[in-house]
Amino acid sequence: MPSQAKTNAEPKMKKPDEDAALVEAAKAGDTAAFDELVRKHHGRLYGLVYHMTSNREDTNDLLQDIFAKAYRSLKRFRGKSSFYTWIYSIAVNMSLNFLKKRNRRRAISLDDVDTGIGNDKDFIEMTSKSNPVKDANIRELQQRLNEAMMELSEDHRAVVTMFDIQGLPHNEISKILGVSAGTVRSRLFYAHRQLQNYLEEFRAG
Amino acid sequence: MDQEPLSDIQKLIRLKRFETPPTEAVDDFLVEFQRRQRSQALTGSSTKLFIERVSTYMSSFGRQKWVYAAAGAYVCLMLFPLVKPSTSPVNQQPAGGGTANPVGVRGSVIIDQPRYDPKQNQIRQLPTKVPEVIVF
Repeated sequence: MPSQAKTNAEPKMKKPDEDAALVEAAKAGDTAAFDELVRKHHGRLYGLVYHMTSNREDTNDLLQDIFAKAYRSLKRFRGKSSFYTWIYSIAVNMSLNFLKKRNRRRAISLDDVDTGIGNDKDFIEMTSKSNPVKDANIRELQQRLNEAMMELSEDHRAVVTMFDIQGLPHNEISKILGVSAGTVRSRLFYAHRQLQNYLEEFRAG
Repeated sequence: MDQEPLSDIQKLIRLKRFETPPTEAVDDFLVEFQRRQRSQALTGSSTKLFIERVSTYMSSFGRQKWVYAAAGAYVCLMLFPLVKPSTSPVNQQPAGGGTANPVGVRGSVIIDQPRYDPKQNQIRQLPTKVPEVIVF
């Protein structure tokens, strides 16, 4: 029996949304189902908003507004994308709108750094060599990284947050932002060059 | 994540993912979320909610939303004169000229006005066609 070779024309199977059941229950008025969605996605969305604002208080307030808007808009969610992609898009857009309205020089208010950083291979590599990262304490490094991020424009900070910190691929970022993948790449390129200038002191010699 | 080697800068920035809130943060967040939802249900402005829902509805149309919004505004503009009650021109035109400031004229109406009747050789209330004025 001849084997059926895969071809490029074979359509990709869309993964079923893991949140579908919770979303349907929440649409029907089950508030506990929506609470479960909040618990499930709070961490990633918190990270997104926090890395864009570098302010804990603003992050919590904005995240409240994001989930509130998602709750009010839930009946309009048709399932064309996963629930997570949908609420993530809401979060990105609301964060960008928030940042463009607020005073750019708002004080940084940072979360603690998880002790797991000590096990990160890149951190270990950077601190094991004769490297300015090794000489700086973690708090100082954190402060400088956040200051550098705040020097970027909101649009550049968004792509760095999504790609470098949260690990989203270019094509997904382009769908969320409504721009081409080429635009995402060029924003990343520019942002990385800006960050190189701001973080020159921490680069390996 | 796209498989490309990370630069030094990317490795540095990626360290930010170790910045995390305390573990109990999500519980506190949920308590506050529920409190705000209850508060909004009791005191929320229906006008603000209506505006937000219209905005969310329009955003689902993408770029076509501007066409629909313009069409809606045009329809409202055309309907407005039909629903606004017209004011009587008698009340708007004081005797001897006066200081009425009609903003626009819409057609004409027939009203009784004191006029000289040559047949009767006297002043009588006669049907007269006058412009219907709209004063805001």
